[in-house]
Amino acid sequence: MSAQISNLPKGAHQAVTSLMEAAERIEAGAPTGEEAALRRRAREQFAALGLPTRRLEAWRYTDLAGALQGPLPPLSSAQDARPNKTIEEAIGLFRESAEQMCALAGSELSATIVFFDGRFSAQHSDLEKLPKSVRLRAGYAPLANGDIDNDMLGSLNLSLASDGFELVVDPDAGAQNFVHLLFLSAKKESCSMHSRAKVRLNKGASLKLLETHIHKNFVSGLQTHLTDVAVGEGAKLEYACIEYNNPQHISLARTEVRLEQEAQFSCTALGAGGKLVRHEYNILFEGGGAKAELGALSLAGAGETRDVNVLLHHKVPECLSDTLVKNVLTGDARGVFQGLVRVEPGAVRSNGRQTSKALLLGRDASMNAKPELEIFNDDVECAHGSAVGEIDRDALFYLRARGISENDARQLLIKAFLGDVLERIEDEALRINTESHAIRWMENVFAQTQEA
Amino acid sequence: MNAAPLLQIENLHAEIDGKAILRGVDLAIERGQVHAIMGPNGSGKSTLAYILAGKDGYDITSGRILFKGEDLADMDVETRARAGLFLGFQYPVAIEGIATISFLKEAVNARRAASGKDKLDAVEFLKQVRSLASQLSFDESMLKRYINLGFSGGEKKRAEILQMLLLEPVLAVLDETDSGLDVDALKTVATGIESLRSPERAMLLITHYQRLLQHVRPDRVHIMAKGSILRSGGPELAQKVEDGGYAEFQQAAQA
Repeated sequence: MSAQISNLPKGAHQAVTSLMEAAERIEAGAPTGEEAALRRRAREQFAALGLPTRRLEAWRYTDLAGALQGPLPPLSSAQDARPNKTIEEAIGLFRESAEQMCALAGSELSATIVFFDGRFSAQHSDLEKLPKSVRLRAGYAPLANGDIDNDMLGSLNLSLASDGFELVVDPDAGAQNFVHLLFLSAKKESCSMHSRAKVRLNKGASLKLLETHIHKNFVSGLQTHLTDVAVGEGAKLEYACIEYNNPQHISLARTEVRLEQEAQFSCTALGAGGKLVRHEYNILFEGGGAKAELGALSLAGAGETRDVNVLLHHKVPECLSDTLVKNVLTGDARGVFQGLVRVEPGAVRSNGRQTSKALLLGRDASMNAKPELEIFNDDVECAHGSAVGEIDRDALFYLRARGISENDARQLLIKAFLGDVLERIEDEALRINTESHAIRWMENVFAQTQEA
Repeated sequence: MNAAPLLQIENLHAEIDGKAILRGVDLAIERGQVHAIMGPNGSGKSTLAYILAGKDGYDITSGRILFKGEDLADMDVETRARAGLFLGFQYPVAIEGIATISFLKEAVNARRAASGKDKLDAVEFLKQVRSLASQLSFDESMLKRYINLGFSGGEKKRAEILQMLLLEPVLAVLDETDSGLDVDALKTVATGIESLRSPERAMLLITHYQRLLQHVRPDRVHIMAKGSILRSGGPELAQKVEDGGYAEFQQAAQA
């Protein structure tokens, strides 16, 4: 099911070899024996597992080995991660734009926490703006978690992670306004970047998070990012993620979420571009009456593949999951959605919905959608659906017949296609912010398709 | 300079998928006039409306259409609309995800931009929309809803008229705007149409029945069947259809 390293095609072999070498170096330089041991275990596991092949069901539509094209040295030292003037400006701009959007919604930005080239940047972060009940700790050490590291992505990331953070919200506390996590990179040459995060909401806590990844200048690199989320009893996390990638960027991310009793989790992810971008969501219902809402918007152009892979594991009664995945694909872009709602025998009165919709704007664009249900009891309400289509010609004609240009009409229809996912974001500041990115994103991509 | 008719259709032949639908339509409409085209189902009335608006899929095999002296064949859909041609749809299209009010704004601003005017001030625009909506008994809450989505038949037609009044077209082609309306809605819609009547504008009402024409009195009535206009006359022609149906005209054409 997985390709041994010796059997890989040349480009992938070079990439994996360089990753392994880097892992050994990091291991040798680890500050504690404990960390070195952890990294070694992860590296050995990665070596044993190799890269997933398309014979593995979860990777059936995504060819990782084929995408890797040569060595990927890591961003090895903190000195490498020194922001230049352009990046300083970019950070300023993102902070400013987030603040403006918050102002539009009548609120303020809580804090911006900046990660540059995979490393926490204290200089650019304003941790002091976080309420006392919300604590952020940067670093690698607190982040080991045996459970999520048993596969290729987990072990690769654990062996190489350069930095990360842990965000903890005290019981019954929270930040009123959203916290902004900003990840930027500017490395021009091929390299790899690995980070991990933990978000813990204690009982009754609440948090709104905006996570932005801007890797427009990150050329032919590999990024892995793992986020481990735990939402305690009655706690509520509203999460929005925005990422822009360079067309050569390869990104593998996983968000694993554990929900306790009556916990609420909603996540809206907006992602554009990348040679191969895959996001796995594993959502585990561990306490009854919990609720998870997941919305993923992907936009890909020529030569790009975006893959969303979702597991919703209903282990306990009366939980609700609602997944809405939308792809807008131009050129010969490929979209992939694999979603599994698994309902265990004891998880009675579960409610699981999954929908995938794709809008194909390029003649050679394609979408592979595979929503699945595995239900082991009779007392459930589950539904899934999938649709792939082009822009509705009648709708286009109707708008044009009112004087709206064909370009504008197409844009309106594409925005309309994406609109219902964005509308699910409850917090107004978070929604306005995400929407403004979506609009900018659409306009950029639209300009590109017009040129093509 | 306005010697030429606003709309001049000359010997128009058109087909869809190789099947002839229009077989030689001639029609001239002057500014200030209201014309009505009546005819049985399948006579080609809606095809004519769509061709005027520029819908894809129709092949004009001969003849031409001049609008303000320009050949419509040289104008795309939005250019026609911006030049003041409006089609009121028989079946308005529902579009999920676009709020009616945003759509109206886009449309109004597109039309304004075409005539070199600035975008309408948001407050001014809202005021105008609200006043027209109330005139048409179009519930204001509908403006926030997606375009035509979940609208009743009557609401869709009111929304079409609302768009027409906002866009102030030079030529309004209303395709079966009366169908599916109850008596009150018909009156409201008719009042809306009447309010646009002016010496600068013209209208073409396409209808199966005569009832709209009791409220909006046409200057000319044309009977269309099998892809051409069989007879043209004054408003009395509509009454004749009401009394005797279309059979008489069709027999006369065959004789």
